[in-house]
This record gives sequence, C-alpha cells and structure tokens, in this order.
Amino acid sequence: MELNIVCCGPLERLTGQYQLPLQLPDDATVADVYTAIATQFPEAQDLLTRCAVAVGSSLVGTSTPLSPRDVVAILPPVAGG
Amino acid sequence: MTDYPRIQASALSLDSLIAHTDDPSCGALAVFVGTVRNHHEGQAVLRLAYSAYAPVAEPMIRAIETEVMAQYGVPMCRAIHRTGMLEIGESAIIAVARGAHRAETFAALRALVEAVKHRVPIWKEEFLADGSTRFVAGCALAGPDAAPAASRLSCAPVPVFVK
Repeated sequence: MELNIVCCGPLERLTGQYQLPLQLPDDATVADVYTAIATQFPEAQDLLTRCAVAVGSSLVGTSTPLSPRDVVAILPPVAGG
Repeated sequence: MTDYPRIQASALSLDSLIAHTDDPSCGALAVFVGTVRNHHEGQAVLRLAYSAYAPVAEPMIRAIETEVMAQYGVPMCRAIHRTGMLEIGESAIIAVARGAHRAETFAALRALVEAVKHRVPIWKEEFLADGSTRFVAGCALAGPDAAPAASRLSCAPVPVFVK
C-alpha cells in the first residue's frame, strides 16, 4: 500500500517534504514506516529515534498496524512556547 | 462561551482570551504570555518560525486544560499558540487560568504552560543573525510503547538536533 507520511518540524527539513509518499507492505506497521524513512534518508536516522507517531489524532506504538486510509504523522521532539 | 482554535495562524489576542474566560465566581486571574526574544544559547536570534501538527495539537491542548483544571481545582484554564513567522517581541503563546484564589490559580497556570511546552506537537525554528537556521532541540513525546527508542532502529538516539 502507499501511504503519505506527514513529516513535521525538523523532519520535514531533512526529507524535503511535508507529505512523504512511501510504498509499504500491506501488513506494514509503524515500525516499517520508520525503517522506510531511515532507508531513504539515512541522515534522519538519529532524529527518528526520538520521534513519536500519530495515526489520526492519537499517538500510537511501533507495533500498530497500518491501513491505506490512515493519516500518519511523524512527530519529532516538541518545542512550543 | 464561543469556542476557538487553540492553534492560530493570526496574532494572538490577550484581551479576547481574558474576555472569553470571564467568570464571576473567580477572584484570581493569572496570565502568561510567551514572547519571541532576540537571543538563545549565546546566539542572536532574528525571528522564529513556529509550526504545529493541528490534528494532535488541538485536542491535546484541550485535554491538558481539562487535566489542569481538575488537578488544581480551578474552573478555567485556556492556552492558545501561534504558528507562522514571528518577529522579536511577538506573542507565541498566551495562557490564562482563573480560580477562586491566587494559590491554586498560579499553580494551575504554571502547570498549563509547562504541559503545553512539553507535550504538544509544536516546533520552532530559529533564524539567526549569522544567516543560519536551526530547530530548537525539544522534548520527545512519550508514545504508548514506552520502549527504548534505540530498539526501533539500528542507531543510538542523539539528544540534540541542530541543523
């Protein structure tokens, strides 16, 4: 399946895209998203280890399975205020 | 009370937030305004660019408000945060707390601001006087895994990201 992964904050800068299209296995989990991004953008590996993932409006774990309609966002360490 | 977004692309209004949160049962009003300053870690800063992931940030700020009101026993807490390019002196965040008395109101305000800074998906990029830019190193959000970050990838985590 193809998913457009939302890359937020510094990750958008590293990947050059706010929405990054990834081709993933039909039984992909969040962990596969991390691996795919790290493979395509090795310079993002360090940052990815400190990122959280949201599907819709909820933070999810790395073993969460994904479906083609999921809205997935990678959330780097936050610095508001 | 009219609802309003907690993440806003336009200039924040303290007067509006105070008016929206008016409560005659409260004798204390505590306010925090976070503004853009012209320096950080020894470097001169020209401006900041804030971005947020609204699908998570909006409900998360509202959830934090509810948590803080319950924890500190105050009837009103609100926080709003700006996104976009902000010049020196502009307001990035405004938070208010209202309570019957000052003790719990001060405490609630502090808790509200700290939680928004550490738990909401908002990022800031500094534009420095030397022409470079960098993202401010932030706080990693805790996902439901609570597993060591290094287990996800083959590399070890780096605590600071600087472009």
